[in-house]
Amino acid sequence: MRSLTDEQFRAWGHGLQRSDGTSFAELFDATYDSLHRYAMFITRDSDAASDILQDVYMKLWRVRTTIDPERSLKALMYQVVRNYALNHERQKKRHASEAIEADSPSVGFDNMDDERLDAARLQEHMDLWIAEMPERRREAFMLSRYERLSHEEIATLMDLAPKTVNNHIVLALQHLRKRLESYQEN
Amino acid sequence: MHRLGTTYKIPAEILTDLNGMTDSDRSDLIQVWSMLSEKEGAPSNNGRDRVRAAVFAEVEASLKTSRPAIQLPKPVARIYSMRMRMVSVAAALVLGLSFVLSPSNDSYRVGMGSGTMTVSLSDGSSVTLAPGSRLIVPENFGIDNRKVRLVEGQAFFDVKAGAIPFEVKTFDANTTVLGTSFSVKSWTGQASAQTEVAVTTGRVSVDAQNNQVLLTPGEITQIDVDHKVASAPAVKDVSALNYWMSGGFYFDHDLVGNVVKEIERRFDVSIKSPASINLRAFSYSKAKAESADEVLGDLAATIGVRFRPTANGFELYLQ
Repeated sequence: MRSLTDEQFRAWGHGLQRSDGTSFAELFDATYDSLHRYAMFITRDSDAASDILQDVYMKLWRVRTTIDPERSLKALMYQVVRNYALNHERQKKRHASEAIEADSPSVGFDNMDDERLDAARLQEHMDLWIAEMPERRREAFMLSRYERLSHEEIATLMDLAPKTVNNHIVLALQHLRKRLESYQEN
Repeated sequence: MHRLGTTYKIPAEILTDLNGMTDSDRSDLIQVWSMLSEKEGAPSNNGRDRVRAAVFAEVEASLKTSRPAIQLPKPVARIYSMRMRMVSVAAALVLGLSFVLSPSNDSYRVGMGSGTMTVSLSDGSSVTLAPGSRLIVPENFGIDNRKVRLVEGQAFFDVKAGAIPFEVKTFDANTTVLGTSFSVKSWTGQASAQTEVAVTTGRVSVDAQNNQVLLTPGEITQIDVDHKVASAPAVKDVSALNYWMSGGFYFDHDLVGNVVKEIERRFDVSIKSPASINLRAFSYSKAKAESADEVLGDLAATIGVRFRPTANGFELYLQ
């Protein structure tokens, strides 16, 4: 999603307004992976993230005629994903017996040379260190670093002051740096 | 230190406007930033194909049947005239495609807040659908079978007597009749989702996974989610159960969460309500309601909570 232009989103928005299925299909294909990743930041559950996205896209299609194509469709989509994902989390907490599975894809180390092994290991650690940050900091950081949203977009989405977004990201980087330093000492 | 092929530079705004940061701090942070590998591409298991299939099945269905543009109290929609009515130039192309992709079914979806929709089937039977409902009618309906699927929602069936049994499938039950009128309620995706069948005239057989019950006029049954059995027939005021057809409401010890969803579907509004309220029970009966705040007002007064309008709907809250 990060490389898509605002004009592209505007064109899709206009397409949606006239119930153009082709525009919607393009929009789906261009945005699914990013939005799935974002839903994963919040839910840490790939299946739940897929279910959420199904609801989001269906909702988007249902309200297609009421969308204002001149306002950011991208921001709207992130916003709806966020609302649905947080809702999902709230409902999950209600069923507290449900085990929460951490999502830690294991990396196969076979057939890797040393250098790549180190790199892969480091990335795995990075992911763990990111996971241990407070929720909102992690969300702001990942939106900035991986989804390339601007501070302004993140601020609107998370209902924060842009200054606070910046603080979150800097604190996140400082946290990673500290972890890295002690990792490299060992 | 390994550089991992990062191309995305740190946004300048992150490192400006910070007091007390030295140049070496800054460059350390830039380095951390650059060490994080891109999360490009998607893991193969992110459900994309499944979601795509589900979403576009619905998109095609909605392009075929469209939602009524104008709010009519009870639009009578015949299958063929329906199809023609909504063919606009823009939709025609996609429509052609959708026939190729799913040639066998007619799918009806009633928009939120758009009133009930009545569908006349080719065997002379008719179905009235509540807002938000989805019904699928196979193309060979009326030829060698009379099976329909209520994917989700609430429907009143007036079935023409015939030699072929008329069957309504829901996610947890099959309801079979010969000629009668009855209603089926099956809202999925809400607390204690279960199918409920109520008979107005005639006799109806309801098959759950583990048992079968026979209903006579004035009787209802509900499917037990855990045991997958249909409850023993109970006598109810069946006409009240069908208040929805005239714009009314009937709840009998329903969870407020489900009541709220019903109001959202009827009036196409968004209602925020905390779990502490959603889990309360509510009984209510009204033959006709004009607006969401009318029903919410009654609800709030009955269970002792308050409500207020929000930007796109309402909010229930505790005093």
